[in-house]
Amino acid sequence: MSFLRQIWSVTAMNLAGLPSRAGASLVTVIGVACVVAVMLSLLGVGAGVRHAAKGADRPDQAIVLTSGAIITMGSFSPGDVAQIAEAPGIKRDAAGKPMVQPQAAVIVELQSKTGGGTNNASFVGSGEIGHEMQGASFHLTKGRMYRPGLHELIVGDAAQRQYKNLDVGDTVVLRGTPWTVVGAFKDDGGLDENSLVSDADTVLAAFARPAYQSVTVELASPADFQQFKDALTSNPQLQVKVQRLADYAAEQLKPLTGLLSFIGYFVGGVMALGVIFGALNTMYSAVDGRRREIATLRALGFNGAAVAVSVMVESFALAIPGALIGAALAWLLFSGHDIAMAGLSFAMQVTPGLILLGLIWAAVIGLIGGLAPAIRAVTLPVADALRTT
Amino acid sequence: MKFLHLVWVGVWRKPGRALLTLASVINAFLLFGLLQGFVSGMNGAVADTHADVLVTASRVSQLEPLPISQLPTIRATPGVRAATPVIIFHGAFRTQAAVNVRGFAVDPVSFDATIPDETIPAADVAALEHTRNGVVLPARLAALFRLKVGDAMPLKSLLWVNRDGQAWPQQVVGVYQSNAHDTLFGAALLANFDYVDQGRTQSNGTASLYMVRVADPSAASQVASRIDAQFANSPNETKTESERQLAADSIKQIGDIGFVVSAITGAVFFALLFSVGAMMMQSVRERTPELAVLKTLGFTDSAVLTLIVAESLVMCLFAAAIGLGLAAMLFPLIRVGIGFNVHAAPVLLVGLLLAVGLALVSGLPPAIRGMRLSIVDALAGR
Amino acid sequence: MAEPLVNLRSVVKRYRRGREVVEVLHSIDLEVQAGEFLALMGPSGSGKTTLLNLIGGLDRPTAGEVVVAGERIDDLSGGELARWRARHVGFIFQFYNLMPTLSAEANVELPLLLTNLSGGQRKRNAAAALALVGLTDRARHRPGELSGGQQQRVAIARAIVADPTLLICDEPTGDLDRETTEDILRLLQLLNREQGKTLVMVTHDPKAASFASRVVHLDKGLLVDAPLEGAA
Repeated sequence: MSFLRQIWSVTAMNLAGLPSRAGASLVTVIGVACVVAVMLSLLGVGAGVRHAAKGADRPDQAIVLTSGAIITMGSFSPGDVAQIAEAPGIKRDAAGKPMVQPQAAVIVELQSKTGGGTNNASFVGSGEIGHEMQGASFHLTKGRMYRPGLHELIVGDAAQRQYKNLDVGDTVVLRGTPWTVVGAFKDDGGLDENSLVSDADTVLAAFARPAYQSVTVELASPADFQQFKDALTSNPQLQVKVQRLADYAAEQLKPLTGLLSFIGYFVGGVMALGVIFGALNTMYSAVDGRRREIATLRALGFNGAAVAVSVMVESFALAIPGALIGAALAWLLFSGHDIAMAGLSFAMQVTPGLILLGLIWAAVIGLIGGLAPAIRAVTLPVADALRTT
Repeated sequence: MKFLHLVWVGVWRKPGRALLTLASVINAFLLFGLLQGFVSGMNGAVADTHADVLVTASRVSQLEPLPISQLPTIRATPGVRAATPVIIFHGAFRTQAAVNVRGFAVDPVSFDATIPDETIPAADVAALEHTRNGVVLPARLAALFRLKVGDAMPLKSLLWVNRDGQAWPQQVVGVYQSNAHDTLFGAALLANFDYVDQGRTQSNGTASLYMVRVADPSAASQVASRIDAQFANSPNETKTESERQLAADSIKQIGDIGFVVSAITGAVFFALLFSVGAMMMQSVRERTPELAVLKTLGFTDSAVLTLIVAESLVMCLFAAAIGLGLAAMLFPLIRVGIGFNVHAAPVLLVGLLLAVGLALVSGLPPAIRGMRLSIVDALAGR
Repeated sequence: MAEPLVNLRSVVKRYRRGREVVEVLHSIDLEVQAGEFLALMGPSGSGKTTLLNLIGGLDRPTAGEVVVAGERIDDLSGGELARWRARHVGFIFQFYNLMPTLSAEANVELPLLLTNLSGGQRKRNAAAALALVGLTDRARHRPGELSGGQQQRVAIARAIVADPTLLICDEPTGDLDRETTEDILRLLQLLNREQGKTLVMVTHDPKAASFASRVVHLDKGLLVDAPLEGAA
């Protein structure tokens, strides 16, 4: 009989016996399902943040910041912005204007819809050319754009869901000044949906700020970045650092995503360890319960390796459905689920990549949980096992 | 107690299986201890704040500066005992890698009168007065950076650029032990207010916030509204909250950690319940003839039930004690890593109660099976 | 004649096997005097073990009365019966039924855990019982490390350690070789003659029955009083 046929027949025999060991076998299935569900849910938060940050969508955009301080109150004067606009590599729009937009972000306090407290949200003042630089995913869902010079603003979808008084037509008071909400926008679940947006100069004037905080530019092509960066950093009149928007977003979110990944893998790892102990128990008792049967097969001339493989297959057969159940649970409960964290709201993402990770995790649990029992099944002294009950 | 030997032998009937089960229970309680320790540390940080200290910040945002001219008005507010201006400094110190440290520039003279924090010695605060570019460090930071009094500590601020160049040349003038009260404003480095304010390129003559100490903690909220009322409708409106409220808010901002931890713990114990329950069930099934013999010898049904539940209890409590013990040994790491003091006793107590619950729920079904066992059938091998 | 130690009156036992109701014992009357060594013989399926279980308080009759040492045990509850067994009966089985995880002395000590004796007293009594069966030097061994005969001696020590009124033996030599069988039977006879223990033993071996002071035969659920020795 060929080796493969041996494996097949022994495995079929094992699996046919599974229902009679349902209780013990269920332990592995449930255990793996719990690990995978918890781990994917935790990692799904990080995946949600990364998806929402999106910086990677725009390789042709760069951001100019003051060097030195990391959080700034604002340090670009209109003159600075004009100088930046002269740097090489910047794309021009149809009208020939350089695509450079100064930004003035201020933190404002808004009434939270839940709990009645207040939370900090960011109020972004965007340059005149800002809307031309928005990605294709940005669109107004209601109302119209703000007009420069007037106290008008548009609100992101996530901000609207989190805070009171932000419906189109509402008036919201920010530092004693009433602003009219004239529009609402969506940007494919991006983090900017958490903010309010208006005209940069209007924001500066309203908040008595002397200078812009950062300048975002669109380059003619992503390859022009180095040229643009060198021109600015070598300019002695500017004390700036230049980053690709993607790198900047990644750097800003690194502490958060790093922490989330650490928690996800740490908890997933520790839980997996516990489940491995349980899986070992299940498989050891499965092998012990079949001592006679295994010994009889070996006595009949079945290959030891075929028996070992069949034990491993049974271990996987318990772990993989567990992983699928866990992934399905995480996906049903949490994919697309909105979370508020660190002042941001975004949707959790249980991505196909994460589900694959869950399957790999389960396969490792199945492998480790089945290996030692498989070895025991092979090294069982045949004569002893046949004699004892 | 005389049955303990019987119980213990039952637990170790199959040493391999017992070890694996113990390991999975230890593992679960270690995770429980760490997660719950973290949550308790967080809640503890809120509870450890001073009841009589208020924080006055800009109504617009905590990063918005307030003019220092507000200080005399605040001090003159009825019910205020003392007030001190603070600049949020939050620095970065580079050893092998840049490490961010929380830091505040404080006015040495009024700070000591305002913050009743006995953990920062008055002498250290006073040293800031004599050495304008001095810095006072909590002991764990000093240990982390291997700094001692007299060493130079060039710092970058996350917020402020120094006129002279990029670093804020600071000199260590004090190291304080911060054990009991790791409040949000403790366990941070302290610098000289005037030195930072005069040296920075912008926002000179402002404070990030004022710390206010009230005469009567029970009147704190009235004093807070009184302070805010004085600046209402001015360009610099204020928002005054108790230190405790602020701490609670900043933790709430991180997200609903309590829920996440409960969900994880729930999943872990759900899986564990089946794991321990299946192991106990199997053990009872294997011992059917032995249990029948015990009954023959005169052990009553309830004695057999008790015996099996006791096995489950001994195993779960034994493993939980080890797991929680390991977690407790790691609690100091939570303190060093995150700055929270873990209140170990309640965590351990809840853990042990959980172990009892786990033992009862997973031990009862097999125990009832053992109790219902008929001697005649079991002895006949049916 | 004195009050019999064991008195069965019109005892009937029926079992439900699936849909069928089987009457294993039909109206048994049996008396065992204190100090007797009674052998209960009969072919397999004759109801020997069922009768023994009724006498030992492991099971209750469907009808009839079972009185042991002046107490009616057929209407005791499960818990009462368990306590009654602990006080009055010692059991010896064909397959010894020792706890595999306990040492010989711990096995012998088991019934004493149900008494109020102190730990020290329990140890002394267990040691004395082991000495009586000649296994003092095996006290620390587990059952798996003992021969069949030695295991049965440990089981006998366990049966007598709490000084019960009655010893119940179910095929005590059924799993042993000839030589060991004789040793065990002589030990039981010794317990009967020198310690005055009352024994009821089920066996199908006439050789074993010959050690008893009286033999009764059971056939198809009925006692056959005629001494049909050699008929099994």
